Amino acid sequence: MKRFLSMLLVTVLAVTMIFSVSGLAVAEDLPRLEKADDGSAAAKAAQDRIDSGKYPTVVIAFMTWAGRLQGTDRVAEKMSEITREKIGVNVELLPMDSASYAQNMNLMLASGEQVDLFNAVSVGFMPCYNKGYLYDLEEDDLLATYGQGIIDTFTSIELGGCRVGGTLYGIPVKKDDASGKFGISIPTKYLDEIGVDYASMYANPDDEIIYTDFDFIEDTFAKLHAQYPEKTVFYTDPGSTVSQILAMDYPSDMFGVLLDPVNSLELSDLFSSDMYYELCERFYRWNQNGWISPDAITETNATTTQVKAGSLCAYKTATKPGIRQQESNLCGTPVAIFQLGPDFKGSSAYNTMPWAMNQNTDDPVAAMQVLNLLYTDPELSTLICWGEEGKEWQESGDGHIKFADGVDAQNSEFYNNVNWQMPNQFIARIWEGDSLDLWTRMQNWNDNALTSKAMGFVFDNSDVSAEYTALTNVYNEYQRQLELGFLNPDEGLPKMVERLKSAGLDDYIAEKQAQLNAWAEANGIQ
Amino acid sequence: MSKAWRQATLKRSIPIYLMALPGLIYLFINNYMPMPGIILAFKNYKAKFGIYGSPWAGLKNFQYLFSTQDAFIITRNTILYNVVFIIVNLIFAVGVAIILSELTSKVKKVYQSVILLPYLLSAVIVSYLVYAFLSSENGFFNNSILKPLGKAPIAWYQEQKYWPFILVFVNLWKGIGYNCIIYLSTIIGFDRSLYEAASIDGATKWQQITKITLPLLRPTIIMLTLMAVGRIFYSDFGLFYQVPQNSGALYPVTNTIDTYVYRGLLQLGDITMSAAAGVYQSLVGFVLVLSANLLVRKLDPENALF
Repeated sequence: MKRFLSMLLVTVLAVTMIFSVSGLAVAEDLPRLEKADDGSAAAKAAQDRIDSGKYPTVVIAFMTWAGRLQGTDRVAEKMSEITREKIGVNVELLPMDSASYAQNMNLMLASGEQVDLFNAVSVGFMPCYNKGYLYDLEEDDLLATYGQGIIDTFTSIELGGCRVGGTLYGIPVKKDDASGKFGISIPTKYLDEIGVDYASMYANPDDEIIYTDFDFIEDTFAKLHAQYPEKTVFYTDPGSTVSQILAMDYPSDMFGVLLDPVNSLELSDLFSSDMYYELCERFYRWNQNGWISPDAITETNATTTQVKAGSLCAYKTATKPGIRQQESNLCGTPVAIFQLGPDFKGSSAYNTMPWAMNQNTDDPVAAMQVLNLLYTDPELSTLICWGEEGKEWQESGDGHIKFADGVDAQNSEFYNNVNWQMPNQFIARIWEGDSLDLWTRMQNWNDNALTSKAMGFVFDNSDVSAEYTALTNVYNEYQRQLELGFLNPDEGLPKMVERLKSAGLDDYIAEKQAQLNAWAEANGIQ
Repeated sequence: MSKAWRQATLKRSIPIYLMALPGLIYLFINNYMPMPGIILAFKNYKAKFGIYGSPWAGLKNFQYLFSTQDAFIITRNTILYNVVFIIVNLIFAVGVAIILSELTSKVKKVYQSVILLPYLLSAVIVSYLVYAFLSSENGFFNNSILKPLGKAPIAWYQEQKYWPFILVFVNLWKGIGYNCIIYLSTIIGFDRSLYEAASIDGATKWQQITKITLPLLRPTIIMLTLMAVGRIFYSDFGLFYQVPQNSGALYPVTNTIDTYVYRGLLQLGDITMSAAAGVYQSLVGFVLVLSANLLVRKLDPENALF
């Protein structure tokens, strides 16, 4: 009997361990990839390059909001000083404007121009994979030998998010992996005006997010509408409405989602779900109440731009630590952040904007060593995030950094607002306005959020691309009408579902489910 | 034909060939050199192997164009809009060209520049001009016309029934200045003595137009129409995507082959599938030009293109 009990105990323990491995448990004891050696091969490769005096150049491409930054070459040279000394490599930075980044990257990757490392944001990780642009990062133990700092930075599960068919094609960015669903941001000046006492609603005085319910929000919206009849009360950017509001997991796209992602790996049709109906029904009601602008269907301005212009009172956002400061900056006025949904981490958390290596790269070892250094060297990370000390930034005296004298956001030569895209902003210096423990809080936030069981699953839709094109076209036709409340969901929703079905929705979901099952089996997930 | 004569002709033509050379080079680089790229439509492109080394995909890349009920709608929209555009644009372009040719020179220049101006605007700017008229909340129609008349405002970007007319009108307004240039320059080249003779014989202006101008214009009209027919499977992307503000409610009347391909592949980013769409459009266009020309040759052999 005793033996049986201990056996049982062992089994229970083993099962719990498998579950924790599958992505629900927290940091420390999580599995890491194995390293190839004690780091001697990497050190030798670096030393050989330094001894030979021939420094290869590694070109790093990323996206910016303002094209090529003026200080790019200067910052790259500063970075090269570090990389030359440590690994015998020069780096060249290649920032490109968001408007043309995807197009330029596609041309460069297809034409064989030199670009060694690039961020897959906007170009898309799966499209890059489909076109064969990506280098297998584990070829000849590349990562295990020369990227050991990366192995220390990420668990094997996190890295697994960038595997397609078992092959590792990218390294995630250190960022907010979880997001708070259905956050609503409202400038405090409007709340004060209608007499809503939001200040007393924080659970703790240090909190930046107020957790509340729909009754409160709808009551507030009604008051805002009465007070400011000429303003739009609410707007949600249609591109992210579903993904930032509903606590479900959408592996790669909205066609076939996990409605109960914490517990089940069964894919369902989002558009036939109660969850989606409720969302459309709610926005339809809000639209009928006059809270959504009649022009919302053709709106192209960002929500924060509308708030800045004074035409909008409230908008949807995804929350995370630091969100209140971020949105206040974007709106140009202090805001209060309310949250109606849970904090959640979906399957795509690690592959929305990974760093990848061009399959065409001349020197994969050098490129991997540079990437490794970007993840582990605080000085290098600060350079690529914030620029050069004394030119772009200076010590503020309390541990933060701030603009150098005479420099501001307008005239800075390397102030790019794309730190979220850089390999590891967690080790870079912290800018004034953010709390010094921001990254600790971010790590806790990431670790404590509800996590999808499909975390790390990537859907390769190349076999059903015809269906995907048809489905996308149908969804586009209805999306804004339904998700901004212009179409009564009782009439519009069944029509859309019917057309999606005839466009091959069921086949598409079946293919996704088959891949998901195979993935789960390969990764030992129940 | 004697050898000497031929040589003399050649000598005389050399400057003309030289003048045409830059255009021919451009045509070769821009239109002929990329032609082997057609092969992409039948490949499963992988950057690692290059265009020629990538594995063959058969007709798989074409599948998505025909696999749904949308295929019918986008084909119908593309062809019908273009047919209407060809007819409407032709009538108005010829009409305006004739009117302009009758005007005295100074006023003519002003008018000609004014009607050409919209052609030079980018589709994005045009879309916002249209938006200024049609916006639900602040638009000119809803606020300055319907409201004073006591009528209910119209949600223009959600009502399909108005858009075929709006698009035809916008296309006409935007293109007419350019379309009439060729007709106008042809008319100006006509022998004025014909008109003088006609007016001496007592022909009215209207008779001069119908009996002299239009018959003389016929070859030009046929040639330009044939060329337009060749592009009947292409649509003006800016007109069908930007001007309706990409409003989903309007897709059934604004979705054409080009916008469908763009929307479908925007996220997929699959170049072989867009290549397939291009090949399909060119092939059908090619067949249409040949058959239209065949028809013209049957009816009026002199004016056939080839």
